Amino acid sequence: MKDGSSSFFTTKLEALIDWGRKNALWPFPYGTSCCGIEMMATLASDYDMSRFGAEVVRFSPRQADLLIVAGMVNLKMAPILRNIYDQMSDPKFVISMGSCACSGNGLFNSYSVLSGIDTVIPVDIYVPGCPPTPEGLLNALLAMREKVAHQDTFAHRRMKAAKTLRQTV
Amino acid sequence: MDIRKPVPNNYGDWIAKFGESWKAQTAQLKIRFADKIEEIRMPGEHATDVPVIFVKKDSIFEVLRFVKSEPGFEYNFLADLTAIDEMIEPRFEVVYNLFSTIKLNRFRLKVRVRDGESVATAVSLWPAANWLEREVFDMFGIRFAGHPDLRRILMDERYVGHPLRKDFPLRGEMQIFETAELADPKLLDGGSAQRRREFDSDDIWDDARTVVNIGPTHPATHGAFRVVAGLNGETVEKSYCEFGFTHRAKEKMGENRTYHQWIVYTDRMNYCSSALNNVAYAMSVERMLGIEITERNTLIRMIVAEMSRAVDHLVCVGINAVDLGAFSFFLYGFHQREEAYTLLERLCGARLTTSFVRIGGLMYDAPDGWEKEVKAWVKKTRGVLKEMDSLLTNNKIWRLRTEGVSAFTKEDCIQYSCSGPIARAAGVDIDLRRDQPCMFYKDMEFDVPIGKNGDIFDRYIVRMEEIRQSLNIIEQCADRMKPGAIWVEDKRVRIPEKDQVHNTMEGLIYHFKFYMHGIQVPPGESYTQFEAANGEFGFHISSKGGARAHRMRVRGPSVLHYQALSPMIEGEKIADLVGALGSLNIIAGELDR
Ligand code: SF4
Repeated sequence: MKDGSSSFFTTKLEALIDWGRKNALWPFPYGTSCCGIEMMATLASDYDMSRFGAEVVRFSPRQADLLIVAGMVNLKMAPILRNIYDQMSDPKFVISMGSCACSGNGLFNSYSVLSGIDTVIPVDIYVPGCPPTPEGLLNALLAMREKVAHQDTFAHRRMKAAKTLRQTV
Repeated sequence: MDIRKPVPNNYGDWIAKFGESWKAQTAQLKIRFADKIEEIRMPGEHATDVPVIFVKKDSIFEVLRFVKSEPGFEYNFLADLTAIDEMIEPRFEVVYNLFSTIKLNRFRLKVRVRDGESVATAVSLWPAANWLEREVFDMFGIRFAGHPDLRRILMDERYVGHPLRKDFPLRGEMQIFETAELADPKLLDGGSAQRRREFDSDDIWDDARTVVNIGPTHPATHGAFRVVAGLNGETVEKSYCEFGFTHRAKEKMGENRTYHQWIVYTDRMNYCSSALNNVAYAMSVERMLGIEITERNTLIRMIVAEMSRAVDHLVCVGINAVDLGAFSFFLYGFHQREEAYTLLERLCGARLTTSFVRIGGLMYDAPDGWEKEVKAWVKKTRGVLKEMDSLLTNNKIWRLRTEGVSAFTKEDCIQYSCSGPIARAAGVDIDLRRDQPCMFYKDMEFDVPIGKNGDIFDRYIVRMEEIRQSLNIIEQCADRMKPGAIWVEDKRVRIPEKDQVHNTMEGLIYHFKFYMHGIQVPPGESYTQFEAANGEFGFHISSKGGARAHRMRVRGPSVLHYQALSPMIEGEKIADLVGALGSLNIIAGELDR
């Protein structure tokens, strides 16, 4: 660029990086209850999530960029979930799998269940169902890829906002 | 409520079988503990399934000790310990559901406790009582005098209130905590009253003490719970477990939902075999109502139950193997599980959470030719089992990792109230399908595999064999299946068909009544148990009449198995903890309820 800025190059570079991100999402399977079993089925050979690039399941939040919350989160678990989310490095994406994680399901009206994990962490994609079928989760993964490609996730927005802030200051 | 009013129920066959010995036992108790017994309720005269003895609060320990070891009683297995909030003075009842592994007989003791009073702990009689008492303390606020470690167990340590008290609202007050406060590893220093084993003297890290924390989110736990192990070198010296991370207030829900509405909650207990839970629950309520289900219904239920058991075991052994490094074995089993789920999907439209049983009936009849597909699946599964067997059973690494590891003896199993495959692997010859037959299990030909050493390997072998036996049962049921009704024609429970609802006034009224008011269960109390995939799975229902239970207690085998983990792994290597955990098949939904 003539004025010396490198914005053209960086956008292209970012697009390239996002292309890479989209094709290599590393999930952190946060399966607490029943939905976790269906998530396992999605990861196993019959449905095989690795067809879409989300193959490398990591059990350390520091090595993963896609948090799949499969199952119910209650009051005792909520701070732990938040902790895990905070430990993941940006950009991080969240899929909330199952009605429990989305809204608390039929259990939300009780003394121990959180009405949806979005009360503690930002969620990019909600998958309804109790439990969602593996096809549902695969669909969510595909949608997640689209979102990443279009830089339309919470993480991207947060990073953009941080950048703008840096530029204005 | 008149508890003396005769109500229809299905307790008859138990009374016929055990009535005499119950009479003799209560008579003996009356003589021995004359002034210490407040009240005796006998089945047949009262609406209860087994004799209930109300003992004075101060003598409960004495009576428990007596019935545990006295010849003629020998109720050596603490099936369940729970409490009921009666809302009258004295406010609470602490309930001890006992079982005799020798006579296969059941019994119930109760103590009435006022708010603020405490009961003597039973931990010294049964170590299994430890967590059960903690749960009663957590949920009801009843204290147990002499309990070694009376802390909250399901709720957070900082939680205020006791949720299962009747005056506690279902929603409660949302108490959200900013930070997680997990139990402190300092607990390890306090020392536990558990037994010790000889430590490995070759351990080069001897005397290097570390604390390893596994969970609440850890790949080996397959659910949300936590084990903290204090190591001496690589050997586990002491450990403690923590859970409650998936507590979903199901028991409280059971008191606030009608009997039908609660079916969906039973699915989500042992979610690896949901249909089994459905069947067990429907059976419990039907037993209180005195309903005999139709033959076709019974057969479909049995097929579904056995299929779920097979699936549960396949997943359990598969995951156990994955944890120890054998991945392909798991994929074989998992594929068969998917096929079973396709069959379940054909039956009720859901894969995992079936919600398919209704009280007195089923959601749908099986589609045409379903039993043929089931039989084809059975045949295929047999072949797959053979393959799985040849893949793993004689694999040297698998054997070295599992044989003799985390062994639990027969006596330990009974003391810790272990049931199901885990107890059978240790040689406890109890299978409720054979010893307390319900449905058509008495007509079926099947073996009960028994292990010897109670180690991980034996648990694996027992589970594999149980899958084969389940397949046999499925085949026999499928052969017997004939077209017929699936609903009992009983006005109390029969949900009208949809075309009647849409076309007749009567049908519509009944439909409305069932869905708005629920079915009416007569006053009474029963503890019905079924041999689920993991062991004795029971529902203690206390009804005061009406469409909702007064107390809905779920006895999940996982709680007691998880409790046994600590003594089991003491003296083992830390790497074997993972194998032991996998072999116990702890399901978080059933653990926390
Ligand atoms: S959404 Fe349903 S299947 Fe998933 S965790 Fe909740 S209750 Fe279980």
